[in-house]
Amino acid sequence: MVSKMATKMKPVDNSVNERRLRPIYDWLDNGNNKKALQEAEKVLKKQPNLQCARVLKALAMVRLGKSEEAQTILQDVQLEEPCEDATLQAMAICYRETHRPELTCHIYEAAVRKDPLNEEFLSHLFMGYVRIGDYRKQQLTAMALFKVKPKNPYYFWAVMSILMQAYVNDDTTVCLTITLPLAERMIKKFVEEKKIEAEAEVQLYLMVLEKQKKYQEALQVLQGSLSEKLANGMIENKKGEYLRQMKRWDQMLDYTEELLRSNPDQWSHYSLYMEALFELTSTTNADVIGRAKTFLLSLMEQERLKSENKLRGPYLAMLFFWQQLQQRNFDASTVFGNFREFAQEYVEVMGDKPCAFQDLRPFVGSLPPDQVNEFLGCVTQSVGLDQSSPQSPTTFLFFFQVKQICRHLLHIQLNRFLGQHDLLSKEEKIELSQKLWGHYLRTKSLNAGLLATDFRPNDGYALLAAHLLLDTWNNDPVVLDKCLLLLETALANSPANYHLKLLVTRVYTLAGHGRAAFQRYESLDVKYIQLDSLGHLLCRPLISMGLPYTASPLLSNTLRFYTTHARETSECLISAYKFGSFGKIPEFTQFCQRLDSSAHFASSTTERMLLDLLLDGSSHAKLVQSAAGMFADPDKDQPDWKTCVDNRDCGVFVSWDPPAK
Amino acid sequence: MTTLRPFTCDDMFRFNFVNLDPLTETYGLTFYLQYMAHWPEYFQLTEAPGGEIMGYIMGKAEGHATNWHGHVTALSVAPDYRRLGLAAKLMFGLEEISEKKQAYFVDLFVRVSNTVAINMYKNLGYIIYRTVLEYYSGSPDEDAYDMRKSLSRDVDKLSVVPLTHPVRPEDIE
Repeated sequence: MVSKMATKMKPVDNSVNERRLRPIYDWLDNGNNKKALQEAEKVLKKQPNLQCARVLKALAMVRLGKSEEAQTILQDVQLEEPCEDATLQAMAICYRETHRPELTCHIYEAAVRKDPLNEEFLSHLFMGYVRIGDYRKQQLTAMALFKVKPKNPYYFWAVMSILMQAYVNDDTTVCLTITLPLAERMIKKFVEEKKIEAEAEVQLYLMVLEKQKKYQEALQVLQGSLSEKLANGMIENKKGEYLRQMKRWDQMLDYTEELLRSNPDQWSHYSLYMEALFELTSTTNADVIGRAKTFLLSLMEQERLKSENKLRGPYLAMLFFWQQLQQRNFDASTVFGNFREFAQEYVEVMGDKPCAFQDLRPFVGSLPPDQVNEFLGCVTQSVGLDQSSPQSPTTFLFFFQVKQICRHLLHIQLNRFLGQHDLLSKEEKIELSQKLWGHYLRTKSLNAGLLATDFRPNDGYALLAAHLLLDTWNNDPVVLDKCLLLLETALANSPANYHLKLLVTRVYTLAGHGRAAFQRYESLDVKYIQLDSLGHLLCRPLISMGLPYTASPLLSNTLRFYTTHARETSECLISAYKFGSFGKIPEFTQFCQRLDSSAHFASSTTERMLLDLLLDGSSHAKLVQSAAGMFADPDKDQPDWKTCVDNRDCGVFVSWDPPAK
Repeated sequence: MTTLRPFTCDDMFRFNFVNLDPLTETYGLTFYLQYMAHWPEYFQLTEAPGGEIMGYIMGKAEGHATNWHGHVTALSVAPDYRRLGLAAKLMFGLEEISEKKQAYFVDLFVRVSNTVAINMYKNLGYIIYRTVLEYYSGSPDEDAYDMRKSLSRDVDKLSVVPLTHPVRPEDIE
């Protein structure tokens, strides 16, 4: 709100000025920029030199699309080097809205020259440098602030600004000999003087040590009195990570074992545990494998004894350990036991959860090929169905529990993942697909009572039936029609299921049904960051499906997201400094770069331009004009395709294909 | 098997398993970034062994004096990862942080129609503190329950004495 600034006016602004300016602020806040402009002109008739009124006039003009005239006013005011808070803040808003954040720095630099002890100006200047990422000037300004007002946050803003210089400087020698030691010395000084106040300050200390790979010192911080300021979770994670970096495998094994005892479901602990364990096997003669075996089995034993709320972790840890042994050339079966039996035990305990397949996916590929059939046989048995007459599909399955559906789906998913569907002929695949569709229809009664927003437990049959049909596609449009029919039927029964929506969108695209694809895509309500991670699903296909007018707003929307994010991120960077979330500062910066370098951004920009040429080309003259407006130099103004990054979320498309596919 | 860890910016590129669910809103970047900037410890996620994001919680600490409390802004678990106790795990984490910050209670708002969630919160020890009239806009507007659970600092459990009358959204502190 612009009006907030009015209340911050210093006493030097007499009340007459404030009273006169108030209506301009109000009109601006209400979005009535025309009235704001008129009001400003009225005030300027009485006081033509009133800086704040001139700037507010410029702001109204910016918002009315008269940026060029506004710039002239702003330049004149800037030359006068204003030194009054409300004027400066209004100018900063103008610069932000015209994407000239560097000019904000210039006006505050001038103001600070006139009034070097003004905390407010210095603070705005610091934030101005944050917006443009000038870390060196951030550092100097933060120190100037600290001299004016010796508050801890200012001091640590300076330290963080130094650390950021090290993050962006490729010259590691300079970083390690000058930049980072300076940051470290500054913090140590505060530690010694017992001036450390906040968790953020300790975190920053750790970041500075980490960047120098001084893990021993960092570990000492975690074990010392400063750690009282840190959250338990952070200490746990950091300690494990430091031990890992220092290759203290024996300590790391003990430590992660301790963590797992108190939290046997935390996957990241198992990962560290395994790493330490196998590093140790090559450096010690002690029977660490035997120890791990006993330990992991004891964790599972605890779960076995529970009657309910069993944790998945210890069961999956068996598979993980077995897989790790095998990958590191141990004879896992002899050393640890039968993989199939461990997998079966997991299926027995957790097979009725929808996540069972996703859980097993990273491990089940390790199943020895000669045990696949036996394993799948056991999974079938765990479904708990009468299979005495497998030849007669109509009587074969009779479900009476949702849990059975989950188990049965898991069975089919594992069959597919373990390559069993690849062994089928085209006709057999179609037959199996029909059979699954039959299961889908027969199990619909179990969906009774669910809310529209719930997934239906039997949706999985429709998805698998569709995947099987798609296996047989081979450019046959009839296959796609069949596939669409069953997906649409399933979607009508389960309107919230996004797996169905995603797949149906893709199949419509394959079939060239642009409008239908667009309709289904719209039902996913893709927006903001999802435009980047999921936009590829439809943006370009729409154009190739002959729907440029549908693609056009989609592209505009996407590009608007990309062009506004930088400003949004820079405001959040400022918040991170204000709240001392120093760890987030490099993260936000990298995030911003990741969005800027998005391949989808680059391709959408190009598509947008091609589309403009296509849609605006009503006459030769217009076409030339459009083209001229796009590029200064078509060769140079290309996206840098080499540095583009792929931000697509491909994991969201569920599939049960074997890993080799 | 779950990894519980702080939510990072990069997670936004892959939180679609959670966010494509129609009951989970996807907000503009600023919303997530401001929570990360202001209350990073209150923004946690759970990840499956394969790296899939199973669910996340967003929260904050706010209020003055005895109203100093932890607030659950959003809690969502992907449909395929429900019934595993993940929501409880995320809630427990948020309560623990709020304890460490010496908050008096934790609160959250939930649609009165969302019986599944209300029952889950009740099982976790939350009570319906008050009804907030027409808190959720839509057609028609829907009331919210303001649910609370007291923390150890509130020795006399004063924060969880239910109000007898409903309140308007503008009356919430």
